[in-house]
Amino acid sequence: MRIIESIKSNHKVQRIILFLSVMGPGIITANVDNDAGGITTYSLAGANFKYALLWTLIPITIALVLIQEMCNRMGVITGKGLSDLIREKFGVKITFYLMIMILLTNFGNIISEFAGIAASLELFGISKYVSVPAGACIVWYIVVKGSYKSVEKVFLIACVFYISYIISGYMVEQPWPEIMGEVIRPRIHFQYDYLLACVGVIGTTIAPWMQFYQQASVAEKGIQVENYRYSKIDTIIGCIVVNIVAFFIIVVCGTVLFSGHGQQPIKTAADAASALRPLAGDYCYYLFAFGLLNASLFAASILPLSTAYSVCESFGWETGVDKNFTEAPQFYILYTLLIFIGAGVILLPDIPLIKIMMISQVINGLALPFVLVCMLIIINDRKIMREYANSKFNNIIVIIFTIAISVLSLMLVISSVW
Amino acid sequence: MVHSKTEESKSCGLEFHKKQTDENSLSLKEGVFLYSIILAKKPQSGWNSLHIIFIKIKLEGDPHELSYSWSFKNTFMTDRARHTSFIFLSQIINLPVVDANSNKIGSLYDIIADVHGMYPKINALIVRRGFRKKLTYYPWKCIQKILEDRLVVIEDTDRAKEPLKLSANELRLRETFWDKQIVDIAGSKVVRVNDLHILKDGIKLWIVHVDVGFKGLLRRLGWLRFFNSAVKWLFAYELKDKFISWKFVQPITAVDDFKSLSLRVPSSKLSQLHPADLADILIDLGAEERMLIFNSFDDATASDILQELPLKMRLVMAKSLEHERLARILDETPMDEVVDLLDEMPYETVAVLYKILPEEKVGQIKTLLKHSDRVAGSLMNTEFVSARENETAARIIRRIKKVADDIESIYYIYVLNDLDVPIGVLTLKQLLKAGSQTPIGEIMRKNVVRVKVDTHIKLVAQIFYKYNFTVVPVVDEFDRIQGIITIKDALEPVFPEIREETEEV
Repeated sequence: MRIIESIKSNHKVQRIILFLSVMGPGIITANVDNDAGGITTYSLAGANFKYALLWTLIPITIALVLIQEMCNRMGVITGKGLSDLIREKFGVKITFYLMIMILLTNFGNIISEFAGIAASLELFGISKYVSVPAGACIVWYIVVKGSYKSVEKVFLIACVFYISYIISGYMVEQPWPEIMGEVIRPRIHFQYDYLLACVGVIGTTIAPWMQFYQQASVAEKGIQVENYRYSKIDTIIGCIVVNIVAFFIIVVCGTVLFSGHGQQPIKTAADAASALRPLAGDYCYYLFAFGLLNASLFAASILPLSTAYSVCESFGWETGVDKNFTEAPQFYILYTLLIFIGAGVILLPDIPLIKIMMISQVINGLALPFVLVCMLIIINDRKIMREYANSKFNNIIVIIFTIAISVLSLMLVISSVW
Repeated sequence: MVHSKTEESKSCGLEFHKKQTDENSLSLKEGVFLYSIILAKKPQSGWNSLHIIFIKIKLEGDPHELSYSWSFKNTFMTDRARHTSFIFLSQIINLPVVDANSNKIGSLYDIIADVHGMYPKINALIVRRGFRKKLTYYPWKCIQKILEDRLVVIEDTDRAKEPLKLSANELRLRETFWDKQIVDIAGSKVVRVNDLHILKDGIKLWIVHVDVGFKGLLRRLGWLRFFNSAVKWLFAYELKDKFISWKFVQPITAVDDFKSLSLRVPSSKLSQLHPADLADILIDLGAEERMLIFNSFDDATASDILQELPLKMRLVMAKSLEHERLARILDETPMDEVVDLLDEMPYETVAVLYKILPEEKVGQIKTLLKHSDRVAGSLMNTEFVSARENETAARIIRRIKKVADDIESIYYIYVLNDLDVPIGVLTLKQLLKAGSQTPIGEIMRKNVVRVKVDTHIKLVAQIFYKYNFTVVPVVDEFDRIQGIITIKDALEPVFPEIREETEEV
């Protein structure tokens, strides 16, 4: 007992305990970001452009940290979700149309997550008619029958499995000096394909649902102002880790699959895994397939949850996994519909999957600037944020990023419409 | 029923009246149906208009002023429809505001209500004017005409006032209610407001309901007509309004300027709720609103609510309270709960609290804090009813009456000898049954089951299970009584998951 007491009273240990108690929302949100769509985009970026897109991960990380930190701060200070704040600040109309966009883009993402589950398990030889319904049921059950604490634990464990991508990165002999050279002194091309891939990488890494999800879970967790710095560390670690994983995916695909500019050896993340098998060995193949499965399952449980949260919150309906069906009917109906329709679409024969993902990415790109602008206005409102409003320096950087992201998203939208 | 008819029909016509006179006694829902309240008072009256006027007078807080109502009779008879109707806030906000010569002044930005009476009366408006969106305040008297969904006409435009300063009872309606959360007292939960339902009589307005339903949401979006007819056509279903009467509404965002956090509306409505429900409501609120509401309660209620909150949130609340206030609240709280809380608080705060709290209380807290949280001492309460062997029943009953407020459990009375060793126990029931002059030594049960301060909590729980007690005394190593443990406190630590689960439900 004494020893435990003395360890507990140690300052450093206390800090670690505090951090562990606060940890969760930031790391989970960031990791879900590497979902099926993300892994596909990174694999393609590596296979088609080798290491030429690696440098983009650095500004993306910075932007992601800044944006997620803002949500985190709003969640801690106000104890409310982002859609709550948007509703209170901008009224019902803006909120409603924004929510429609979020609903559509998230639904597109959910479909792609179930496509990811189907594709990854097909690599293990399991039919999609088995894997997708099973996946949907597992996902639904975990959240509906679990409490927030247990759900968070399951999610944190899922985060650990992203290591499989890092391990696979070391299983292949890498030309590290060349890779580092590309990161430090990037050779930026101005070809159409290259720019498109660049926008794709940014678009999949910074998505509107992340802001809603992180703020809602911070608020639900009830993190307090005095523990805010630990929560900030949680966010920063999450954002960095997610980009390290992305880095390794690009590196592996770049080293093994790249076969010269203009060549497109693969189309999807599952293609990438299959293409890796003869070149990098069975283990690398299984690690890639497993990573994809984990990412898809993980995101397939978070995205419907986040969507149901934001939509119900903004319309004033009861929300929360801790409530039961009669208390929060809209929440559960929406959540269940998103999962089962999302999964059902994958089971239809001949669905234009690539097109659906494309459309969802376009709406994603359209919604993101609005969400960022709303966030900036709210976080600079001293009535809401008091002394925790954004500093000038912070504002300038985020505004620059917002403009850059908006321009790039717009480019993506225009290019995909053409 | 009749009620809904009156709400929907803007004119409250004859048909309504006929139906009412058939029923002499009406089953009323409080406050929701103003027409009915008035009619119930004068069911035999044949005057349509009279009732409407009654409503008006009722709202002004003087239901008996009959002469006043007569003088209004003719106006109402001629053009009733235009004078009294129900409108929604969304039908007047953002309307163009014009002066008597139809020159546009600006747009209606917000209206201000005096929340003092039973139904808040609207007594000022805020107009947003010009390109720079300057806000100007006009007293309600300036208004000449309100045409909902069209425009607002004001005269006497020089009476504009700025800057906007609200008196203690005034609220900006749009800012406080639209899209904001309120506490629904009747349902004891937090809901989001979609619209306000307003009684309009000429140019005078009163808030009567808060709209929290889907219909209100659609109305705000401007989709109501389309959606309504679509639903009707498809499912033959009519969307229903979901209102909360003003009587059951407690606004929680009354932050006009962020330096002075205060509730404009007295929180007396909230005090109708049970502390456990209040705790649930607090959990649902944002951080700022939570403190705002909590601070509006008196110390005793605050203490009750604090005990109902989960430990984590209890700590958070305690840390953000001012020390003086926290000390006052703790003074109202049972000792074991105080100790639970202080055990988790930072040392500096506890030291400050010790200085403020009464000395004897601090002494007790310190003794209790010494015990490890796995032994009986950590669960016990130092306040209990004790007596001497030779005291009479009547005297003890008198004493219990005096101290009952401060003591958690008065059901058992412990009889002590000169060394404070418990030599007997009797229940309140025995005491009440006994003759008033009987010395209690004669009726007490001599065998007192007790636990030591260092008895393990598991054993304590087992003792409760075995003997079916609701309270057990705690003694020190010399058998002197130190306090009591109630069954609730004894079972809690052994079944931590039970408490957690009940908190989550």
